[in-house]
Amino acid sequence: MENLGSFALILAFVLTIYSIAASLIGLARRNDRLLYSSYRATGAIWVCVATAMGCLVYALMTDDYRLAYAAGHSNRALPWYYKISAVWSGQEGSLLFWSFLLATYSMIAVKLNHQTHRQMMPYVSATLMTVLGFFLLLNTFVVSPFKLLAMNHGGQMVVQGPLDGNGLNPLLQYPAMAIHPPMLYLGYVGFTVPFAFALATLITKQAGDKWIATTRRWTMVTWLFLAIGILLGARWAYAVLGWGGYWGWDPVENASLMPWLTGTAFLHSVMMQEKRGMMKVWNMVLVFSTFFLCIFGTFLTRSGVVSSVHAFAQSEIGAYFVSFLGIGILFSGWLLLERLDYLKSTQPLDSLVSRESSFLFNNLLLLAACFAVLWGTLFPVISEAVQGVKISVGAPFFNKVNIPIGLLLLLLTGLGPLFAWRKTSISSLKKNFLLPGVVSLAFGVVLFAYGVRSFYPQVSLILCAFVAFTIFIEFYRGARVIAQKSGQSLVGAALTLTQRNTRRYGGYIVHLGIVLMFVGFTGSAFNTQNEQEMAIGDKMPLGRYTLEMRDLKETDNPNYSAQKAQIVLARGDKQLGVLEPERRLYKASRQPTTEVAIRARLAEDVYVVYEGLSEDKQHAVISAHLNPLVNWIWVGSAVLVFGTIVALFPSRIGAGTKSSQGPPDQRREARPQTPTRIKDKDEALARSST
Amino acid sequence: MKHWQEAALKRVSHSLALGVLSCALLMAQGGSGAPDNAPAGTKPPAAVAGSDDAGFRRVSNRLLCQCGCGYMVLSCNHLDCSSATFIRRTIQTQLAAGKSEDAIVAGFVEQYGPRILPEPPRKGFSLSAWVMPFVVLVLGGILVSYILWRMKFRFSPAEAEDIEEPATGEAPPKEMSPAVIEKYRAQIDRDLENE
Repeated sequence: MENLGSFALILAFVLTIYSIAASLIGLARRNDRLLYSSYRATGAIWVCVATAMGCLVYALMTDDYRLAYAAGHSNRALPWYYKISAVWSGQEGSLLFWSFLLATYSMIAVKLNHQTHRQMMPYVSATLMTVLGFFLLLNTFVVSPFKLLAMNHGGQMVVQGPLDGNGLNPLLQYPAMAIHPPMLYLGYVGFTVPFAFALATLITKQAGDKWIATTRRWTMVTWLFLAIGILLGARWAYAVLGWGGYWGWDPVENASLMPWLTGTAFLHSVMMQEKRGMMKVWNMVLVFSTFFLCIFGTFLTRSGVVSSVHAFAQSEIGAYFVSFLGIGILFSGWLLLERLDYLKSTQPLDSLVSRESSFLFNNLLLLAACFAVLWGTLFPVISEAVQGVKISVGAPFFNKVNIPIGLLLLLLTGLGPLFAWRKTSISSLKKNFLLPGVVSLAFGVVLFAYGVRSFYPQVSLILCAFVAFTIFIEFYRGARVIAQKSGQSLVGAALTLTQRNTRRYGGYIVHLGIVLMFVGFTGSAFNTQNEQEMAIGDKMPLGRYTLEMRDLKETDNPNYSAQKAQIVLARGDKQLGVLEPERRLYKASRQPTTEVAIRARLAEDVYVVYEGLSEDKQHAVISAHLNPLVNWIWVGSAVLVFGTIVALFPSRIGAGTKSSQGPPDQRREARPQTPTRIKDKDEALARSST
Repeated sequence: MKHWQEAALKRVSHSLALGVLSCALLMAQGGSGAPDNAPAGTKPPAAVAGSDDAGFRRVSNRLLCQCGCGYMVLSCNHLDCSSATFIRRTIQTQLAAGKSEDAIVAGFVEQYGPRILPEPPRKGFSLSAWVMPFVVLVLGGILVSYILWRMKFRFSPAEAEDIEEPATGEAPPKEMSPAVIEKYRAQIDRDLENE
């Protein structure tokens, strides 16, 4: 099986080189058959990489510990689904998984576009294959997942593995963690497609709009995967690691956040190019930055350049990544400068007070946040190089620097929709700002009266109210017009409105998700914690709750042994339930883990950790956290995902109109008798473009 | 200390690194005093009963655990963590001896170097860690303002007309011309303004 896997990888690598050569030679000689062959090669490459993936999965599922990778990342008692997830739990397997995803994306992108973008596609295909070739080079020659273990038998080396494997890291044996890496990788890898289209656009000297239209959905899907990956990681950290938080600003977390920030900037900025023909160069810069940050994140995770708690084992692949990044950035930068004349804006800016301006400032803040994260992540390395002193850059730094930037961004999320495209008059600004401003300030007064007087939490909650209200107004105004015309209820009209412009209203739903998440982030300013050594019958206060130790049990199964505390949670005299935090010891890896017990409510989580036995072995050390509003983050995450999915659906311009629903005679009746003034801008815009 | 600083510090204390992974790996490599089959292990108390608990929490929340977990000393839940245990005990002892919180922290910085602090010192080259993000933000703001000004005042309609879409060799999409769309947009804007 290992021979088949290795052979498939070598064949895939050779085919990748063939595909690049066939694309470029076919283009130079105008040989369509050669071009077509290069496109077909992407399918053959996918088959080869999928075969290699299948071989690795088979080895893991059949406990073939002759393979070093299987022996290092799995064991016999591991449930089958975690054996599959072991594919991406180590350096070699995860790089193979990366290649598999990129081969899949490449095949789909080429299949869908090779007829419609005949001029660009050879370059798109060659770019995709170049990136894939780089990863296959690593898979094949540097960190092969099919290395075998050998043992010395009487002076002769014989291929033989251990009876059982070391097992999967217990912290990864959690459902969210099983799908968190694939989601992240789908995000990282997916940005290769818009990158390839952007590069092809520059090479073919096209004006720069076609690639935007083609890759819009690719970019959104990829961005969504990255967002889901990041959020699942946060959820995993919260539910598994037992420190009561969800985001620790670890370099590897930061590596995933940076391309998400630039990708978010791109998704906003791209609208200016679509609607106004502006920011063509900037969009190129953003998509290049996003792609290279994805590669940079992979480099950070795997090179050991910064210390991280969940980096892969250090290996020599860091030099390969640096070379790839260096060549890629230099080539892209040179090409961009070379083609600047083809990327000139075709429209002037009508007014400084406009949606266009707000988008530019939105981009600035997103990139400033990205820079702050990058700077903080690399600063220990920079500091050591410059002043020879090791320093730490931890969560306090990132929070202090990014909280003000994040709040400004939240403010712009609310302001943006209040500005019109092209130009916003003072009277329009007054009309749009007055109500949301008054409502959010009134909310601030209420917060103050209820004792929320810290600066950042108060500002954050006021801004959340402001943005939420502007979103509500956007829906309400549009829905009211439709409701008046069609007789629908407001809720039905809001649905119709969303259907008519999924991108715009899906975007607002995403903004609402962000608002809910900010509410959750703000809640952490009010966290409280207590820790106590508890014997059976002991009580510990936690805010308005009381925790009482009822029992301490031991359990055992083939995978792990555990000690479980039974803690009764009460508020006043009322018993609310029993929480059972655990401490496990996984037998294969001899590694202990914490199993947190959480009583989750929208208002607050009671989060209890069994830390272990006290030094005298007579008491259980129990740490309890009261985390207000933290569930708003997970609810906001779901809303964000939902909004993105809505935005991915094509708009139905005529949705909800009577003329499209009733029979012909009714349609005649439904037609307005007198000219109706256009009130809903989107509806009118939709009309204007049909 | 100002409210916002307190709030930020409070957030910080609950937003620490995902360090348990490496802590757990270190433990798995042996050297701990816990029995092999005892998942619970032992943990020194975070604060000794009767000691200045609030002071202990404040000081141990200003120091980064040196086991590589990325946690503050207060929050490291690595069982038998030699680093956290030693630092906690030292803090408790020094607090009991009447040493001030700042003096205790300074003592640790002297012993371990600035890496024991969770954030760069605000002096010398390390100050640039704090300053640079905001410098970039301000310079970026100036640049964006300049770009907007230039787009507004340096871009004449004649210049716009001069810009032609380069020939691509592919058929243009069958859709309404931008001029017509813009005409409608302008009409809509007027209608909305007059509403």
